[in-house]
This record gives sequence, structure tokens and C-alpha cells, in this order.
Amino acid sequence: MSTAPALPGRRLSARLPRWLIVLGILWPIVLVATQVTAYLVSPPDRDMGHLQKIMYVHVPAAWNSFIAFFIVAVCSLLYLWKREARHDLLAASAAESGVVLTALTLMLGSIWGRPTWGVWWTWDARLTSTAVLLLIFVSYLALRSFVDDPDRRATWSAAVGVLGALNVPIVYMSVKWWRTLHQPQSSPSTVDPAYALGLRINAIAFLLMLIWFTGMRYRAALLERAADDAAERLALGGPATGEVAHA
Amino acid sequence: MPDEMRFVFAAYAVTWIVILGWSGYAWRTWRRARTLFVESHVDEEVGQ
Repeated sequence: MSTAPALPGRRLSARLPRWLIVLGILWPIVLVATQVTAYLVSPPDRDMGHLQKIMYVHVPAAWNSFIAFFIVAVCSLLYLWKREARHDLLAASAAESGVVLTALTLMLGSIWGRPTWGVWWTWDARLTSTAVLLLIFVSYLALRSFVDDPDRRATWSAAVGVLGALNVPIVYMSVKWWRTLHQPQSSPSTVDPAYALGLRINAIAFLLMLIWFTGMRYRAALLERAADDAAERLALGGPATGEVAHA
Repeated sequence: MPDEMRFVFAAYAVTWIVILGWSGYAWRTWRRARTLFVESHVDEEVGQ
């Protein structure tokens, strides 16, 4: 019988950590404030008019999906090296966040593309590579739900996580490497100063949201794993660990 | 209202629908995991 990768031997509380509670209150307030600020301070673009305002959600969603997949890659490598379940669980939590943000990026890009390009979708290098990235990480999550053995699930998904994250630089550079309909990367240094502030503050608000979502899913995963371990110990008649603090 | 504003509103509406749906999912799954965790450890203590 295969054993689950060991959780670190520290006390696990059923309560949410205080920083996660504070962040859960903070990020929606910050996100509303930054969206309203960006909307009010940015003038209409010369070519796109008010459509430019979609940038404040589309670009932060894309950037933060890259950050999420970077976390997946780092945690996957750490898991393959140290074989600690917490790295596997954090990678899975970040992958979920990355999938949601990538799907949001594609939906927002489609809404932006219709009035500017005249189409909802085109097989442009940036769009296609982003869709491939989404498919890879949807497959990553599907793989995790299909494999029951925790060791195999963690090892296989770590391999897919590392390989999948290799697509992130391809997505980022696609607008330089190929002739694309998509404009070059937007960053505070490439957009008009009138738009840079809105872009920066919304990117930070999205980052706070990413940390909260990933933290919530990670806590849930830790508790589920601890519950599974306890059920297994009980079934085997083994000793209680005493490493649990009840809320 | 300029025609382009419909697309801007649609983009922000989609963003908040996704965010709120995702928040609800994160909250529900954490609550479920917390219940499982507490019950399993109560069982474990009873089992001892």
C-alpha cells in the first residue's frame, strides 16, 4: 500500500490564519477602489476610445496567471526534490488560480477583440498559445482528480506542472517571435503615462486576490489531507498524532 | 452611451461574475474541508 507524502509535523488549526482573514476583507475593497480610480483618471484612447479601459482587467489577469504558473513550477520542482506534500498542495492551489485567471484573460480578450479586430476569436499566436496554456493546466487539474494514489498524483502532476509552466515564456514572447494581430506586451513602460498608474494599481489588486484565493485553496487542501490521514490512521487502529489544534 | 461602452461594461461584468463565483467556490470548499477535518479528528479521539 502506498503512503501519502508526509505533511510537515506542525500543528494544523481548523481556523483560518489571521492574515488570510484580513486579506479576504482587503482585496475586494482594494480591487473596487483601483478599478474606479483607473476608470476615472484615464482619458479615452486616441484609437480605441473607452475600450482601452478593458486593459485594467485583461492585462492584470494575464500577468497574475503567469505568477500563478510560476508558483506551480517552483512548488512542483520543490516537491520532486523534497517529496513534501505541502509543495504539491500549494502547486495544485496555484494551478487552480492560474486556470481561472487564464480563462478570464481569454474571455476579456475576446470581448476586447470583437470591437477592435472585428472578431471574437482568431488563431493568432498569442491567443493560441494562451489557449494551449489553459488546456495544459485544465489537464493538470483533471489528472489530479483521476489519480487516487497521493504519491503518483503528486509526482505526475509535478512533472506536468513544470512542463506546462515552460509554455509561459512562449506565451509572453509570442507577440515578438511571430507576426500577430495582438499588440506587443502592455506594461507601465510601454503604455502612455496616463494609463500606467491604473495598470500598476490594478495589477497589485489582482495579486492580492491571487494570494487570497491560492491561500484559501491551500488551507482547504491541507485540512482535507489531514482529514484523510486521520481517517486512515483510525481505520488502521493507529495512534493519534496529537498534531491538531481544534478551532 | 457610446457603443464601445457596452463592451467595457461587459468586460467588467464578466470579471466580477468570475471573481464572485470563484470566491464562493473557495469559501465553500474551505468550509467543507474544515468540517471534514474537525469531524475526522473528533472520530479519531473517540477511536482512542
